[in-house]
Amino acid sequence: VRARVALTVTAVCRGAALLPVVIAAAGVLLLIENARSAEVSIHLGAALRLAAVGSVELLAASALLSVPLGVAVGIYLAEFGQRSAWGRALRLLVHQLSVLPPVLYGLVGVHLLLRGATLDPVWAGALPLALLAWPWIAQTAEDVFARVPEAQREAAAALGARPWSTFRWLVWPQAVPRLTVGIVQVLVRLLAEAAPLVLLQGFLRWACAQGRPCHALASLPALVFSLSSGTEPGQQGGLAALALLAAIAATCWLTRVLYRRVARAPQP
Amino acid sequence: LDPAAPKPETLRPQAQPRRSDNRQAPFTLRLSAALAAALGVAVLASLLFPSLIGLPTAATAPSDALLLAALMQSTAVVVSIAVSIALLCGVAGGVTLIELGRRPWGQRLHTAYRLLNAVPSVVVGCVAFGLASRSLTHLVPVGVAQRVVASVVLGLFLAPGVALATERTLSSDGAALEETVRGLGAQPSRVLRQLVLPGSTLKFSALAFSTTSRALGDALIVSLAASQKAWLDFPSGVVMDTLPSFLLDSGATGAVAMNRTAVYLVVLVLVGSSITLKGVCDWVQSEAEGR
Repeated sequence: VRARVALTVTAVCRGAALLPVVIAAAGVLLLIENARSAEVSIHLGAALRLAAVGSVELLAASALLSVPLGVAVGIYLAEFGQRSAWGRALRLLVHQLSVLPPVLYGLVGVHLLLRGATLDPVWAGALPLALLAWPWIAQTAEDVFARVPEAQREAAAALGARPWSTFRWLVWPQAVPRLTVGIVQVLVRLLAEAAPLVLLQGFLRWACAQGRPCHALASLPALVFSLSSGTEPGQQGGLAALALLAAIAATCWLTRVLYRRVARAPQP
Repeated sequence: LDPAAPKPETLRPQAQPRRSDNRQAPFTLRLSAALAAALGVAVLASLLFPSLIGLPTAATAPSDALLLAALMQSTAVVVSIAVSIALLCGVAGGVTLIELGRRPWGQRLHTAYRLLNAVPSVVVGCVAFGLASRSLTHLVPVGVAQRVVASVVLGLFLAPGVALATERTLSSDGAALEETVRGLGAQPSRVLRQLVLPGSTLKFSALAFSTTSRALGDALIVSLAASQKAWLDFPSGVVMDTLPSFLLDSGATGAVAMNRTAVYLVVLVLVGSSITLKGVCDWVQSEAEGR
């Protein structure tokens, strides 16, 4: 009887484990079938191009704002603020900011626009994304620097090296490959993040309808959302979703190539 | 051999060097840390106390409290169904991954979960509500409660992440002890039931809290489900929105500018519950590691 129960439990486990995979496979088939049967109109092509360019601009601008800050905080937390009260408080803040729902960061952008800040649409979208990304980057950086063995730092200190020199010449070169990959992974996550942009886009549309000053904000995730929502969802949403998936896959592939190059590079 | 003679220097017990001792961060790093802290506090303050940055806030109206209550009830229903499905499928997936181990099917399942974990929620919502629900309505003309559909889709979306986390949790617990028991001839399923699972209860609790936090933060799937009224019937008068999806729609409806009190009440609840869940999750995790 025990053997039968064990077999049944194993079968149920495997069935439950395969359920998301099977449903996802059906979804992929649906996407491919939709792409084969859908007609790409001139409008959709133009919208996809605009959204792709907008996504790249948003990503570059938010990376410019968030990467230096995130990496600097990560270095501080891993190397200098491990046990101090200030370091612990900063770590707690970073942890709490990293778990806030992304849609809340869109509200920060809306606050700025409501205050009448004359922001370029790219920066209006990039600022919430940067605010969302820097705690993720800081956590990634802290984790990467903490992986470098402590014994190496102690050996350098015993030889008379200053902490900053130890970091610059010993820790940093070892951490760069993993750090690069970690940052690119965060940027991939940011590329797929739609909630703050959908909120901002909706607000900008509403502001335009009210006769307030407004700009267009184009991005791939927001385009997927707007083409998939509404009472008459068409096939175009599926095509935009495929484009977004292709962009994510391309960025992931780029990450792997980058990692191999950086890992192979001679270290000082 | 004079007992009063001082011991050689090398035999004295040395104090363990502490990592942060005698380390002074450069000015730029300290400045970055201070800037980041100020930025984080400013973000939280602008979300929780908008009057601090000059935005006017009205007094709370009864309608706002009613709306908040309805949204919280809807959120509780969606999140509890989604988390149940995610934990059921995810934990089963993690256990299966451990059991299959390095066999080819295990590797394939692992790759599939990793790929699914990288798919953004907007794509899942698009496929589920933009394409699948339309096709299914053509095939089976029956109405489906939107809230349940949204919860199921959200649960399945979260399941791969839970499966990978379960695998990490189970494989990190007492690997040496597990190998010893296996070496003594115990079957893998017995090791899992009698050794690994009982020791991971607290870690599974932490996993449940973190899954709840993720389910609470997702706005897009519910919002996309709410927009498909033509395809999925549901009783009129039922509030479909959850807390985050209400915020997501507040931009397009203008509520973010016109009904600020309701928006800030929702923000307050959302920030408070996210921070609480994270705190509880961290506490349970540290308890589990302490044991």
